[in-house]
Amino acid sequence: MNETETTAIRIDQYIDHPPHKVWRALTEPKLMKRWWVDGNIAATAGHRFELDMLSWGIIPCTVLEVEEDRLISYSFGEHWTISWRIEPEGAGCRLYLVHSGFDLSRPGDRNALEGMEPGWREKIMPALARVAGEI
Amino acid sequence: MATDTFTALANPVRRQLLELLVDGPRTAGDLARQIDLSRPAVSEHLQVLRNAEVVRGEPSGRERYYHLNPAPLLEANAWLQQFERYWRERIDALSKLLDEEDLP
Repeated sequence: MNETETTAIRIDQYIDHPPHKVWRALTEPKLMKRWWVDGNIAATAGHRFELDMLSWGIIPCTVLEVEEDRLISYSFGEHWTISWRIEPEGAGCRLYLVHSGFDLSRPGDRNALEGMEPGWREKIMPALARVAGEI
Repeated sequence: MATDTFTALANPVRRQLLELLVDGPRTAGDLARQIDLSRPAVSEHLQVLRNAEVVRGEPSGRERYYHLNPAPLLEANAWLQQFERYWRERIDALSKLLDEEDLP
């Protein structure tokens, strides 16, 4: 686990299908369109493509890393990186998503969440909610 | 603005200060003793937190007490949670697609 991962949205979910099928859904435009958005994605490092994010507009992406049936990551717009990892689990697999680079507009915000140790949000947010409820 | 909040949170000392303030208002001197840092260093961090409006200072006699202002922090958290929800829904849709399709 590297440091940038702690700055990101991280989600994992068990999917009751083998890794290769999930891989296809993540990397084949026709399938991807049916669960997410339209875009000429390809599982080739360096491949440039665009995602049609509807009201957000057309987002340029570049594939950064590919390991067939296991991992694909791509830049998403100027600042964000989306990374999908598939690990076999039982009869299906676990899909891990890391959406990193929360910096919306300013370059300085690129690193804003960096170093925020895992668990900090879990620790302080309930406390804040409590405080907020009292005011 | 969420980005300002994130910038304020980017520093471990500032996160530590916020954790201390969750327990109630404190003076800069108090905070400096708690985290074993010089008073000027603490004041500098408090200034960043005040600029981001996650902390506010209120004079009380000769002292100034720093209070937590949770709204921007909760807003930042809500913002992140929006993305989490978005992705959960997408992953559910992916899973359903595979239920429907008999892919080789």
